[in-house]
Amino acid sequence: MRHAMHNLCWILHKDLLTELRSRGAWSTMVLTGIVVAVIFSVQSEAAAAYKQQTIGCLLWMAVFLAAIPMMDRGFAIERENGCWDGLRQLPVAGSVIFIAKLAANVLALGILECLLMPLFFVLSSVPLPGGAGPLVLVALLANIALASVGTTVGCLGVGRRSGAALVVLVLPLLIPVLLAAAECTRLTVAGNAGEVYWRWLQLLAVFDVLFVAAGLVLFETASEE
Amino acid sequence: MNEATRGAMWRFAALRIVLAAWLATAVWLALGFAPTERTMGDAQRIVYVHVPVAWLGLLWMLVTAGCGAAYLVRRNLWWDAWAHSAAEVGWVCCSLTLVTGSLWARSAWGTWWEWDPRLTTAFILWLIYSGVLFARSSVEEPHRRARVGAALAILGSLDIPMVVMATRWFRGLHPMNPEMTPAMRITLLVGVVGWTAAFAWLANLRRKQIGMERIVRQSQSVLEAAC
Repeated sequence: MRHAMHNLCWILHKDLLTELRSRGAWSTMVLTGIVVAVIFSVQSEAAAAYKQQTIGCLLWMAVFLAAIPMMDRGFAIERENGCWDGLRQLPVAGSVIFIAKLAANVLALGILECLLMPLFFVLSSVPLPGGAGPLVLVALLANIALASVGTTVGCLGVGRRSGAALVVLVLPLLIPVLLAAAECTRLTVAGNAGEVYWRWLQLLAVFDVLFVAAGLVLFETASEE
Repeated sequence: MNEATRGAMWRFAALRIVLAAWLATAVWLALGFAPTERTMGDAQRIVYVHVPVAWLGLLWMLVTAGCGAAYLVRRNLWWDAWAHSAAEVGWVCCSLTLVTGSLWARSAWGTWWEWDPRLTTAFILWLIYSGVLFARSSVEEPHRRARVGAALAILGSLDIPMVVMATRWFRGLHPMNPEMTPAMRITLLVGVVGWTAAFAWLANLRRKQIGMERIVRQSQSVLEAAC
């Protein structure tokens, strides 16, 4: 167990270093988010109520479009450098590699959202009456689902030829998660984080459990060459 | 041709005749036997095709995921051929569900499409099928293609509970357990059994074709290597 934890921390450290050093990927990711935020915010004629209704949907689409190519790129770089083959030859269980990569992707998504969320809310002047707490909870649950599907499908290497392929494959699988996250965000912005909000949050949690369990089962076979 | 092969051929021919007769009965029941619904009129008869293909759309996704899982355990391409044919037949059923549903909606709601929870989740299922088939077509090596197809189908099947429970969890326009007379129920039941058998036959046929395609490709590569 201690050995597995040590391996997990080591892979997580390596992945986070790789992520943080790939400045080109981060600038593309953040720019994608900024472009969506700016287009949404410059609709100065749009009513405040309309912006409140749509901010969740656009925020999560921006996160999705920015994040999924990043996850695929992470695997592509490892494959190009032969790092992936080296990693698979180490006496480390596939589930440990999956959890480490999942954690790295969740953290990377968290950093991306720390930049995008304030930007969306500041630029569009949409208030957040209940504070950031309920939104952080939504982001955490949505990130786990996004990262688990992105990690499993990215590992298959289907998008090796074009990153767009991965977006096409992953979007249908993640529509329920994106819908739930957008709906939770809309309810938070409306200051209505009550029973309905918790029901959507439960749905997110169910998808987290399902996708992480499926990832743990599938990662070993998906990562075969 | 030996006696056993001839016997099997006769049995298959008899099965095909039974299937064709069953489907003809289902069509006759839907168009001639079932009473005309009071409020919707003849447009309601679409339900006798829509419900069976909708149920088959869900069923084939589970079959695709199940056969994919069986491939991952056994590493036998026979399972992958089943997963591939099930995904293709499921895609056809899902497409038919959307088309027949849209035709019915035009008559019942006055619009071709509505972002109702059940319609949206059915569309998501269609996208998942399309994604699985698209991913499969982008990979050449048979075992890698099988792994990609299996993983995506298993992940996609996790959305099935949401498709099934959409009308219970979220309020929408799609009818839930509409009232039906016994004649309507019998017609629907015959249709469900008939279309299930017909699409199962189609999937089996496609599975055999995929198997034969693989054998031809293997023979081609052996011949090319020999030359």
